Amino acid sequence: MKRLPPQPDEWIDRSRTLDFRFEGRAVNGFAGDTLASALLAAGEAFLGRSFKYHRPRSVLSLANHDVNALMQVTHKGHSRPNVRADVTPLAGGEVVTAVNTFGGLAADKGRFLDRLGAFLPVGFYYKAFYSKRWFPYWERMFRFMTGLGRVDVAAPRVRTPKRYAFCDVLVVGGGPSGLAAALAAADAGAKVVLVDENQQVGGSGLFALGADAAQHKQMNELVLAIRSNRRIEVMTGCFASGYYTDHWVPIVTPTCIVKMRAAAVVLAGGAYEQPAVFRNNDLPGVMLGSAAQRLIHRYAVKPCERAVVFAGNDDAYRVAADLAAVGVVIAAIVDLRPAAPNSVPAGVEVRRGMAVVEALADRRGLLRGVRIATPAADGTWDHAATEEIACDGLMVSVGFAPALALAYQAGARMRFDMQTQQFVPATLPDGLFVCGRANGIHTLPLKLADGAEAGAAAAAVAHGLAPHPRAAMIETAQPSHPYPIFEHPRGRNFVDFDEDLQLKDFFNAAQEGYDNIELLKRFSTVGMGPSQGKHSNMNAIRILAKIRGEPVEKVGTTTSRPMFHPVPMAHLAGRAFQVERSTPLHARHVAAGAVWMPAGQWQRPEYYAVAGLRREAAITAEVVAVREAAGLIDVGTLGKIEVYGPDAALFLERVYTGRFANLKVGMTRYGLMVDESAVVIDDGVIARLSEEHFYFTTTTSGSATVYRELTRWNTIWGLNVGITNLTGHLAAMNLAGPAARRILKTLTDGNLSDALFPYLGAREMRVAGVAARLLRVGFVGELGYELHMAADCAPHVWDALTSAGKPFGMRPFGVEAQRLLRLEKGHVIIGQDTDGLTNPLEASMQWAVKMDKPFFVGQRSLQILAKQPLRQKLVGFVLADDATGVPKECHLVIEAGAIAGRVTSIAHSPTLKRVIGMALIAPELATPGRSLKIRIDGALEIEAVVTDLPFYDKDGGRQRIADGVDMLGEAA
Amino acid sequence: MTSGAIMPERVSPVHAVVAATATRWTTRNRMALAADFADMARTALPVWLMDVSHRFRFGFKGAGAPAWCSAQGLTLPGAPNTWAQMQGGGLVGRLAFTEFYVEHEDEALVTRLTDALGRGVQMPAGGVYPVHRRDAGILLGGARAQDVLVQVCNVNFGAVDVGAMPLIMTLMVGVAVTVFPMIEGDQTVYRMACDPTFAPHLWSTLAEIAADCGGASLVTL
Repeated sequence: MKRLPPQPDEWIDRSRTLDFRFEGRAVNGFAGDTLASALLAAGEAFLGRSFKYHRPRSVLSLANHDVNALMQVTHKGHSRPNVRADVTPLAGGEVVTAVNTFGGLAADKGRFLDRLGAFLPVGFYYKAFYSKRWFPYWERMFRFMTGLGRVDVAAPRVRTPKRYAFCDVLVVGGGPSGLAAALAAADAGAKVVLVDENQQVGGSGLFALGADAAQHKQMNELVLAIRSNRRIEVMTGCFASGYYTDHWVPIVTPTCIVKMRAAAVVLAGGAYEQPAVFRNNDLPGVMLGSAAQRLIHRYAVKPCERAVVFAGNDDAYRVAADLAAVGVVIAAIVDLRPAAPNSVPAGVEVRRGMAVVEALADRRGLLRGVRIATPAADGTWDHAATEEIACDGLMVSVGFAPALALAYQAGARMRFDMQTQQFVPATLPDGLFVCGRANGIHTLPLKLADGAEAGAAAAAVAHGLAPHPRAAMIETAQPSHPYPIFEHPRGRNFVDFDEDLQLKDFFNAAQEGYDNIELLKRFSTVGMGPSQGKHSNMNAIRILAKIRGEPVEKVGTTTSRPMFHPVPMAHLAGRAFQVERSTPLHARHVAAGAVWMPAGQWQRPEYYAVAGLRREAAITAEVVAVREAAGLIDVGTLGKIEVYGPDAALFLERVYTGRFANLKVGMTRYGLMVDESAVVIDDGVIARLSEEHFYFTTTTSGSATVYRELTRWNTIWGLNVGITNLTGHLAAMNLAGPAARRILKTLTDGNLSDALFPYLGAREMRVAGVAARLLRVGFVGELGYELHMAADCAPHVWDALTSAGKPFGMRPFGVEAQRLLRLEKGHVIIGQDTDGLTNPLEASMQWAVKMDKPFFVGQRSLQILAKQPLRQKLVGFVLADDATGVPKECHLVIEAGAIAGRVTSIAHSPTLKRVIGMALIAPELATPGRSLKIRIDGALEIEAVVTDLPFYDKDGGRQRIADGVDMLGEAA
Repeated sequence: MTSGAIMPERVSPVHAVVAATATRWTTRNRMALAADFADMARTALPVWLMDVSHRFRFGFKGAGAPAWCSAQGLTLPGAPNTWAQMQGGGLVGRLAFTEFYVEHEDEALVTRLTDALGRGVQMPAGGVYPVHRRDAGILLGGARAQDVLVQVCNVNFGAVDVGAMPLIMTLMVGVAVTVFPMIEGDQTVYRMACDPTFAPHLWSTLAEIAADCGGASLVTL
């Protein structure tokens, strides 16, 4: 190939020469070239090696419908794998090598695989792994042989933030029908976005010219009209990668994904030209007719010196005219059809009713000629009656397959049109329109009319109007031959160029029983390569139809899924949005040396680092502080919900298992929530602040779910209540320990005496000047006050408490210390000591359930469960004194060789100086004093003993400490 | 929550995030706000962010809420999901049919409303109940504000009729946000309110994107 003189509308800029390297050789091209066009203009014969057989390859479609030219491109120090040379613009300075070679493109050691084809039948890898003996060998070999390209792990992180965009009408495809659609929609007042994957619009209108000056002029006027229309935004070098509900279409640009939301969509993506299937149809020099036209008109590259055009439609004659116009000698047009059209270029021989059955290679592996024969309708031909025609270029133009992937994804139904021999839309969802070749319209005047109709209809829909019924376009052309597929005893007649699949592979697959299109796809891998069947699926359907003796429509198609072309992973990732919540005290924890842990969306202090102390020692120190002095923990992640109204008490009676109608104003009570199947789902503390005002907490992870459930229930019940979720708007902190009351006294004028603020009481008072709700509760088993206040004032209160608590040895404590403290007290953590099936009876929480209430959610299920034997029971345990290991949470309890339960919580208690835990176990093992075996890592079994709960402060005296009495021996 | 006495120092939900880069501070309504860019810089920046968490906020809901709103002398937004201006620069937002959101500079005014509602009142149409609010407030503006919004939200703010005073309840970067588009001077600005526990994440993300668009995030009134 070589560079032609300047062509009208060529895409290259001859004033800017760009240098790069290919396979170790210096090459240059022009700005506007693609990697492939620059290489071809420079005379490079081979661009790549095929996937399985490592056959030498060159351009086939030049349209990203095949991956014959897949490159590793190193630019500015970083390398990208699997760059599609056909369509990737040349930047200059690249170092380029073909992927899938061992030792370079020319000397590829893998090329010998071409001779081993007999040992690599279709689906051979499914059979290779049957043998256990040979499995490791095959695995090593496949890992070494397969895979395309190398990932550069040192590549810099490039930010590719996604963004939304909005339009009235999205037009996908900037060829003739797409341009017409965009103009018509804009003329109707719509805001239009026109997307085309090429670097410039115009599509086949500006390359499938057939030396037609009138078409060239008409198309340029159309493009000019597009460029000057203010209502049309043109996005070139971009493609629509999929179709999602409500006309949501991700547009992949070179730098990011644009999430386009359109009111209506016009699909004008055209059609993929299809290869013919004959022996050696993959030789360098064999290409699709449209590829040759793209080379000529866009990149001013002469495809060859002497061409044969293999024709199955009238488009082939336009190809011949374009070739002749740039000085290519047309050796012959080999036309499958018995009658040729009138538009035969002068002096060109047409061989009617004949087919190319073999491409012939010279000793370098390049095309030197073709063998033609007269085929029968079934693709067979007389092997003794052939002739050869010398050429160095074979342009194939036998048919098209419509680009309907997005239409399929949108839910369109197709039918097979016999005239055009392609699938066309039969029904389309509202707001979606298809035009041009994808709609079975192939001649230019009809394409323009079809596009204009589609655009006008789309604009009408976008404006909320009913579209006029579209005029039926009758296409008289026959652009696709029904079966351009020819057998050969020596094979190498490729159907899928990505996967090196030959014609016989399909017959073999069907013979093995894979004769359904979905099975054939997965067994043979047709259409599963990087081009996703764009050049192969239609022929595969034709072949299967022939094998089964059925019409094409009966065979059907496989399911089309996004992405239309490969999308960089960075594009899909976009800017990472990792939602995080933080309490208003976050900065205070940072300052105090918090070590963080995730708790759902929240970040919480696991513990506070202390210089010289390891993690376990730091946690122990926090536990000891709470037991002996005081500790302060941020519990702001708890759900906080208010219920107001005359029916507030009744509402709570229904949603919790306990009784709340008789809860006195100013008191709190533990609340347990179950679902309708009586599974424990949440718990909290309910405070009654007035007759018609309740305030309660939920678990950290349950706040949103509980609020949603409460709202849902009241939508059904219609009680006179107001429910509000204050979780983020209020902060909460728990001050616990023997010194808690004395510390708090320094900051409030409220009466903290036991008489007026007893255990389980709830009061509203000011602390450090901030209005707060105080709940005297004891999750950790000490005298404690849970303070709730407005979020923006919480840091002030925390600072005041920290300062007031210092003389008493108060310190902050984190989640791990809290978990340990509550374990010592035998308090259950929902979701840790219970699972997705645990009911209150199994969790030993019958005390929290009032079955005699008229109704509560889950009551009926509990009534049924109460009559049945328990499946499991939550118990406390201690390790035996001579235990030689420490189990972890979820280690199993084993009894008589069978699983009898699991550990739910376990820790070494600094207070009790031994390992304690809780476990859900078979009820018959749940007797205090009973020995348990817990299996730990390494299959060791550790002995534990069932014990009553709680482990610590069994009578609860430390929580109920009265005035004047203090565990520290001082006046409180 | 009882009210009446003066509240002590308040901390903005985004204070810690802002403090990492702020060099100048001002105080509004007992809350420290970053002040690296003066108000006049707003017109020069392509996009800017301002922390307006210092305003006082309050909500109320229930079947009787519309009537109670009018009874308090507040302008009742007529349609669901619209807002109305209050005297003195505040606003009343109608969240769907029977929930309302108030934000104002004047603490005394907001305190008067919360005291009047107490733990709820019964109106002829039904109950009205308080919703305690400490939303984070963020103001986004500038000629390139839309470039920030299209990266974080799927609402087409470009098509919003700002004159109709709509409020939009949506998600931005996974955070539930109520947006009040409004005209200030010659700009369309977007006043946003969100749960304060999500605010550091939201602010950080918006500030990062605004910086990519050539903007700044430490603008003050």
